[in-house]
Amino acid sequence: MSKVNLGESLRKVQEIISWFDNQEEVDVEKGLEKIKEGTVLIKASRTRLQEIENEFEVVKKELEKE
Amino acid sequence: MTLLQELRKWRDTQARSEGVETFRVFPNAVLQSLVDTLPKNKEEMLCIKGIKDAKFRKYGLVLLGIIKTYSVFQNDNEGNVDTMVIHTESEEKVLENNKVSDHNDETMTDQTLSVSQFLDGLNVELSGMAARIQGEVSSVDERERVVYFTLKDDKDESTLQCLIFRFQYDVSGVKLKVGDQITIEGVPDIYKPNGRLSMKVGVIELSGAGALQKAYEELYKKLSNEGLFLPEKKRILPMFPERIALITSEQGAAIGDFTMNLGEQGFKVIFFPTSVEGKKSVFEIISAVKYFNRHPEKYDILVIIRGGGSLESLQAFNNEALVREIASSKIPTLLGVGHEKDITLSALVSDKMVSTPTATAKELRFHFDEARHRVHRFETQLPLLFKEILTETKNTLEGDTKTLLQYLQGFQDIFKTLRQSLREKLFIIEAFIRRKREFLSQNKKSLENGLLRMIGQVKENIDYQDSLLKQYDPARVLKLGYSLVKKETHIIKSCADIKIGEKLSLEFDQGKAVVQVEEIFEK
Repeated sequence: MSKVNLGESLRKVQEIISWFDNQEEVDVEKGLEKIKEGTVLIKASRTRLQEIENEFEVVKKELEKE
Repeated sequence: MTLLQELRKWRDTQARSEGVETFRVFPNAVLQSLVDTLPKNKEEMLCIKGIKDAKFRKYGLVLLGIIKTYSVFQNDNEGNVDTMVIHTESEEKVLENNKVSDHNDETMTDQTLSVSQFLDGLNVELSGMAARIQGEVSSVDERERVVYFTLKDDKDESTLQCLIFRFQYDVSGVKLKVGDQITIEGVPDIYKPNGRLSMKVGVIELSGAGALQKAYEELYKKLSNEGLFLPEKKRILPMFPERIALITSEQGAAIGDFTMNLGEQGFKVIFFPTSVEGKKSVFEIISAVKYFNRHPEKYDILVIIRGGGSLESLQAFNNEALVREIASSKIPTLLGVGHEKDITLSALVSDKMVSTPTATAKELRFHFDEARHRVHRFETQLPLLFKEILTETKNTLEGDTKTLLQYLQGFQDIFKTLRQSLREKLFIIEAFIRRKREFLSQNKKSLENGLLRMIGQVKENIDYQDSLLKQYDPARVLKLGYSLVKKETHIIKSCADIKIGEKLSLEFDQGKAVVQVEEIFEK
C-alpha cells in the first residue's frame, strides 16, 4: 500500500496553482521550484490512483476469540 | 453432509436458541477435535481441550449421539456393520443411563433412575426442542442478573414461565411490560432444585408493526434527547480511506453490490461477517464493532451495510445496544442500510449514512474518482503554467536586454565624451607644464645673477657696518686718551649721578682705577 497522502498531495498541488494565479510578478526561481514540487506530487498521486486491486481479509471470529 | 458440517449445524442452531454467539457453545477448534477423535464416551470427550464437566453435562450426550449416529451411518454405507464402534459395557451403561431417547425406550423402562438423572435426561431432550413462540406478557419480574416473565396464550390462557439473563435482555432492546405482544426464541429447561420448567430465552422481539413503530419512536425520542443524533457529533469521514472495516452478511446481495461498486482503489477491506437480521445479528454486529474498536488506529473507516427491508427485518439496526455501540465507535462510521420508511437509528447515529450498499461503495470511491479528475487537470495545468513562466521570463529577459543595451550605449557615449574631455584637459595641462618649464629655465640665469648681485650688496653693507662699528667702538676712544667713569656697571654721564664719598671706577685704554668722590662741580 502506497504511503502517499492523497488528500495532502492534492491540496499542495492546488496551493501551488493558486500561488501562480496570485502572483503579479512571478519569481522565476521560486516558480521553477514550485513546478518541480508540483510535478513530483502529481506523479506520486497518479501512481497511487492507478487501479490497484482491493485486498480482502475475512476476520475469523472464533479463532479471534480463542 | 460431513460430521463437521453436522456438528456446525447443531452448534449454530443451539447458539441461536440460546441467543449466544456460536463460539460460546463450541469454537470451531473443538468441533474439529470431535471429528478428529470421534469420542465414544464421556472420558474420551473430556480429553478434548475445551470440553469440561459443565459442557459435557450440557451438550455431551447430544454430541455423542450425533457422533454415534454418524459413525453408524458411515459404517452402514460402507457395508461394514461388523466393525461398528463398540462401546464397553460400562460405557454403554453411562450413555443409556443419561440419555432419554426413542432408541432406548426399552432400556429406560428396565432401569431405575435417580430424580437428578431423570431430569438431566429430560433436559438433554428438551435442549433439542428450541422454539420460537409468540404470546402476551402477563407478568414481569426484573432481578439483578435475570429477568423472569410469563408468556400467556391469548386464546386459552395457557402460560409459559420464561427467564432471560440480564445481559441478553439489555441487548434485546425490549423493555417488557405486561400486555406486550412478543415473540421469543429459547430452549425449555427444567430447574432441578424445584423441578419447574422454564423457557430459557435468548431472543425477545416485539410483535406486530404497530409495536415496532412505537418502540422505534420511543427510542428515537430517548436517544435524540441524549443528543446522539446531533449534527455536531458527526465526524468528517476521511477523504481517502484505505483500510476499511466492513461489517455485513456473507450471504445476500449487499456484499456483492458493495464489492462490485467499490472499484479498484487499492482498499484493504477487513471483513467481519455477521448476520444482519434477527436478534442474533445484534450480538454479532456489536461484537464486530467492538472487535474493530479494539485497535481503532488500524482502520480508517467502519462500514456497516445491509440491503433494504421492512421495519421488522431491520429491527437489529434499531436496537439500543447496537445504536450506542456505533455511537461510541472510535473509528468514523459509514452506514449503508436500506430502509423502506424510517431510517434506522443505527444509520442516524453514524457519522454518515447512505441508503444502499451500492451507495456506500460509491461514497468510499467518490474522492478517488474525483482525485483522478483533479490529477488529470493538474497534469494539463502545471505544464501550461510552466510554459507561461518560460514565455514570461523570455519576454522579460528580452525587454531587460534591450534596456541594458540602451544603457550600455549611453554609457559608451558618456565614456567617449569623458575620454575626449580628459584628453583635452591633459593636453592643456601638458602645455601649461611645458610653458612653466620654459619659464623656469629662462628665469634661472636671471635668478642666479640677481642672487650674486644681492650677495655683493649684502657684503658691501656688512663692510660698511663693520667700519661704523669700528668707528663707534669705546676702545678706540679710550685709545685716544679718554676714560670711562662707572658706578658699579653704569656709565656716569652726569654729576647728578654721583654723590660725595661714593666710589667710582675709571677704565682706561690700559687698565682700571677706583676713585672716591670728594667734591662735585655742577655746570
